[in-house]
Amino acid sequence: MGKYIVKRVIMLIPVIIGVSLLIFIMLDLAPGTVLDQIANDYTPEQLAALEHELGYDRSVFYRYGMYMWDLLHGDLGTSYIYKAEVWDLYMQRLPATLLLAGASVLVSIVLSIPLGILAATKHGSLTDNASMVAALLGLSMPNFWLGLMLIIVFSLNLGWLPSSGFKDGFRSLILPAITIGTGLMATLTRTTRSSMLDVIRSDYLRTARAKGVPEKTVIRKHALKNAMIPIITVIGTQMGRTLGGSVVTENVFSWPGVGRLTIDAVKQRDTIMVTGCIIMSVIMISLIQLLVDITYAFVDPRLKSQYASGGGKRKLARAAGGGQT
Amino acid sequence: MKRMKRSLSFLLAMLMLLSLAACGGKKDPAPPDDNGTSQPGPQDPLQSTVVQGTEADSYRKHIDIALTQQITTLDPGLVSNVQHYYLFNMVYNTLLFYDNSTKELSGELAETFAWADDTYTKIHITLRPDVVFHSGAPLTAEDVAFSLDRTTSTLVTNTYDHADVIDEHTLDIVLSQPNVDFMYVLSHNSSAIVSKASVEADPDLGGAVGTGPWVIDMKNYVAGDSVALVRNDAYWGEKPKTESITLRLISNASSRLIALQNKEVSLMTSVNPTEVSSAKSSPDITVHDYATAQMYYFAFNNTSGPAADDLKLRQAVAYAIDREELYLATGDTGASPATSFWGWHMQYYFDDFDLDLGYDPEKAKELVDQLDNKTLHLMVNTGSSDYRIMSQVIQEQCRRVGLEIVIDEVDSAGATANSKYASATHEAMLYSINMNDWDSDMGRLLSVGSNTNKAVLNNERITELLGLGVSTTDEAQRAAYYQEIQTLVHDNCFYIPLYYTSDTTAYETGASGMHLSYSRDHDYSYICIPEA
Amino acid sequence: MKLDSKKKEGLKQYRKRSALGEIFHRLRRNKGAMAGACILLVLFAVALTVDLWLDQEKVIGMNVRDKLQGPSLQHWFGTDEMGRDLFWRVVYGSRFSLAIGFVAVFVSLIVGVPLGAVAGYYGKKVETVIMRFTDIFSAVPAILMAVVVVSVLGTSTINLMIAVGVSSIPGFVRTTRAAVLTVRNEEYVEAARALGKSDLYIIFLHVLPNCLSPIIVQTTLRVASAIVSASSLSFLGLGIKPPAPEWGALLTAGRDFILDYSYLTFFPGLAIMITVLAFNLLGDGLRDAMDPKLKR
Repeated sequence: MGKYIVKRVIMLIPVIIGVSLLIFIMLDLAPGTVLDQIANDYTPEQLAALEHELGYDRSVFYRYGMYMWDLLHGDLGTSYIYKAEVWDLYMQRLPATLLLAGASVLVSIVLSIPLGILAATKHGSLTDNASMVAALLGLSMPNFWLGLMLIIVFSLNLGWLPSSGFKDGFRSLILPAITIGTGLMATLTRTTRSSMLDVIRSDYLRTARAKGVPEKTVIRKHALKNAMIPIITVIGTQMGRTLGGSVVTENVFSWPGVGRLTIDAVKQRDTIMVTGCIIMSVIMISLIQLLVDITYAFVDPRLKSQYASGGGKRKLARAAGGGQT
Repeated sequence: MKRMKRSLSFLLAMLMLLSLAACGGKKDPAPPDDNGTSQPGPQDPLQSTVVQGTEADSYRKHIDIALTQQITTLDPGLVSNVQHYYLFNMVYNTLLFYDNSTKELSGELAETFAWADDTYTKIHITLRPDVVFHSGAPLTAEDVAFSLDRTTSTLVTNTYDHADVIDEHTLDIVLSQPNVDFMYVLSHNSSAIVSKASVEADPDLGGAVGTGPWVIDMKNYVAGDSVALVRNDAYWGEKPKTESITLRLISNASSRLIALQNKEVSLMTSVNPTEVSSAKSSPDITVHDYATAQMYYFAFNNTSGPAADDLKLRQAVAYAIDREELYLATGDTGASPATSFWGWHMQYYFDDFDLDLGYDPEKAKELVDQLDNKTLHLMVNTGSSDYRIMSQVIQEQCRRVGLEIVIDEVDSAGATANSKYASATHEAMLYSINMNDWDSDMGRLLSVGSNTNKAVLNNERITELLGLGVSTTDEAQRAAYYQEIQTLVHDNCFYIPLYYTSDTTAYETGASGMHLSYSRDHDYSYICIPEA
Repeated sequence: MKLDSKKKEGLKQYRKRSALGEIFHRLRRNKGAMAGACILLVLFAVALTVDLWLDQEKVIGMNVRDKLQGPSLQHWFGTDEMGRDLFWRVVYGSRFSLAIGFVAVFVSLIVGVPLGAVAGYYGKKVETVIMRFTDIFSAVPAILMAVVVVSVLGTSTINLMIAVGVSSIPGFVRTTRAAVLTVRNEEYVEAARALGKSDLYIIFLHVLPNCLSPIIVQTTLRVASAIVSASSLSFLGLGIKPPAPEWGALLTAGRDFILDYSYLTFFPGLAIMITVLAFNLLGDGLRDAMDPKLKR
């Protein structure tokens, strides 16, 4: 297990190096630098000194080298827009982001899994079709449009829920979580449906049915448990993606999340901030991937022995990749 | 299974409800009233007010206020823009207080203040003895000297040289050149006083320790999103009635108004022009609209590019522009056209020019006919819808007189980068300025090397006049200098002033204590709402 | 599929045709997919011909007297702040939104598919290099990548298409590679190689034609998400600017009026939703129809 985690961490390194180089080069091509943004806050002499200090009088590769050197020492750098450490800024936003990502995925689970099971048990019927259309509906609506419509109905007309920010705790969370959650529904419903279909048709469920176990129990006790692995994989992927920032929804609900921080940084040419945010989200995503892998072991005891015997990632991936194309 | 069916039908029902309600909305809003707002002209003095309220037994403990742009840093020494001033007004004090209704300076942290002599190069200050920082340390002359030394604002650094600390509570502020307006600068947020000990102990966050009526709650600070404030119970002046305030960003104007209607925030600035009438019709909301000291302008690049040596081209554009059409297009019904490139609220404002460069398409056509080059690139920051709309209107107005305007769209980073004084590449651009009350503030837009000088203007006579203006003691002479500058800028069309904007602040009906200023840097320190 | 490879070339052709027929047959039974296809047919017909029968004046002509009127028989979707009929603007806007969707996906197709094919066909180092780059690229969230690209290139319709297209390249690389992996060792590929055909020839004439189905599915679904992405960029202030009646721009312009005139936001959003839903339904149906696992 320990070996597996170490391997995971090592695999992260080239991605981090590559992503940060990509961001550095691309933002260097965009007109303007972060120094132009803060030019009015400094005297020309201070600005010239800062330009030298930050390497803006040298090539982008020099700045990248400087950044990497700091990163090697565990320093994500300083944002000159906020005049603060990138790490601190990221951590200020992380709670709101985690909360929203968790709640959105929860909404998507609550809506999708029953819908997927329903579709699978009624395979080919009108209910099946309707369920899939309902799931696709969420994916087909632009996030911000759904968010705006929810605000009009539930904040403006009914006055039930707040339309902005994150200070009302649970109540603040409802609308943005529904907005993102419905967008995630399609993939999860489809995965649930197809992996349930696989399991329902399998031999041992036929045996269970033959033994006279009621259909409800068959579905709940036997089928769902066995269909869980692809579902968990999808949930993990979605959680990861949502953590990277749901820029548009955060914008609609004035949510203090990581996505807005990153987009603002792009607009302000705050290369170090953008890179820091993306590195953090890469790390978060792979952390979640790791969690997902560990969860497999609990859901499917067959896999636990593979961990114990040091079975590599490949075996795990094969076991997990069931329902995915 | 039944439960699943039920959840499915619930989902569909929700969707239908959603679409119905979205269609419904408010069917018949009051038509926007065009006569409702009075149209102040340059003759009327700009107004600032303190919102009056009724006394109550108890007040709401917490108030949320919506910001329109990011607060990126808490340190008054590091940044200067209107959005941050809301915060700085509450957390920090300055040496002097400038009341822009009476136009008078008075002491804030300074108990006494006076020019040492009539060369206008030294100010003698004694401090209030009873002031303590949020950290508990007492305020000393060392802190004042330290704060002025470290501030990065060119407003201060252009003339401030150093401070001589005489004893714990007295000091002399020494200027590098005479500046009759420097006392105003000392009342400005850029010269707010921070604690030397705190900054030295923590260079990153020490600058967030002030002496004002509100203390920053660092645990609940989210940079670029919200700042939480708690009342300073050890404040030396009048203490606020509210216990805590959160300033938070809601960048979209419609979202801000929804949040205000939904009672998530109690105050907001800049109501969407299209929604002002709707906000006014709500009994829960009070709307205060006012003319501001902000000016939109059109700047030619006067150092390089086609407009630099082409007075005819510049004047043609000036004749072609119909200012009223501009502010009708942006929806700013309270705006006033600008004639002189100067603050209409400033003491030495002058607009009685011999040369009339007002809207005159015939003259514009005549001039365009004489031009060899009939094309001009206009750089526009498309991040602001006002600039975008104005650029399209100007493009159309110039097209009517035969001049082609090519709009180069950039984002705000691009706009700043391309218009830096030393390396400006734009031919012309649209921009705006928030002007302070004192006349020499215009120097930012006219002096060599300043990045706010979007016209890349390097005019010897203007530079000389600016220097004379801030150093002379004779008011009549100063008036003559500033009049000459305004005439030079006007006749040569280095800049074309477009219009002075108006703005709105909307708040929960019943809220009071806010100082709402035409300079837009409102002071919310004493906002309070009676408990129902 | 295993069986296929053991048959001779001629027999394979026969089987393939019947496979196509089978796919179409299954697709026809999928009511959702057929509904999606019908909607798209109507949309294409409108978008391609709208210039011929719709008076431009209706779309851009201002008529301030009629501004901000709610939906009525005369103006089905109401009128906007300039008095322009929203219904005709939405109809005309179909051109922009569909064009953005298709051009954007075309951009990612022409980059993503060859890369994926090369990676899958050659394997080894080439594959590792391409896939590592893809990993790096896809580590940046798609919308953020699009925002960065727009910042670099500036805002215009073409740049918007490129930005949206660039951000969905990794998806095509992965899909194509996975598909190529399944066929690269098939006998007919080996045979072509034995005949001394060039690699390029083999990839484009033997390998890719047999990988079409996942690519087609991916394309359909990506057009859907490209339309949504483009409107999101408009919403973030980086998309097509008004007065062009692109749906995302219409929606964003309506946001300023959302308190009193929410129909200005509602209808363009509905148009996006229906179009994207149609693409998704068709894509989903195609995926089901082409999925050998669901044959039974």
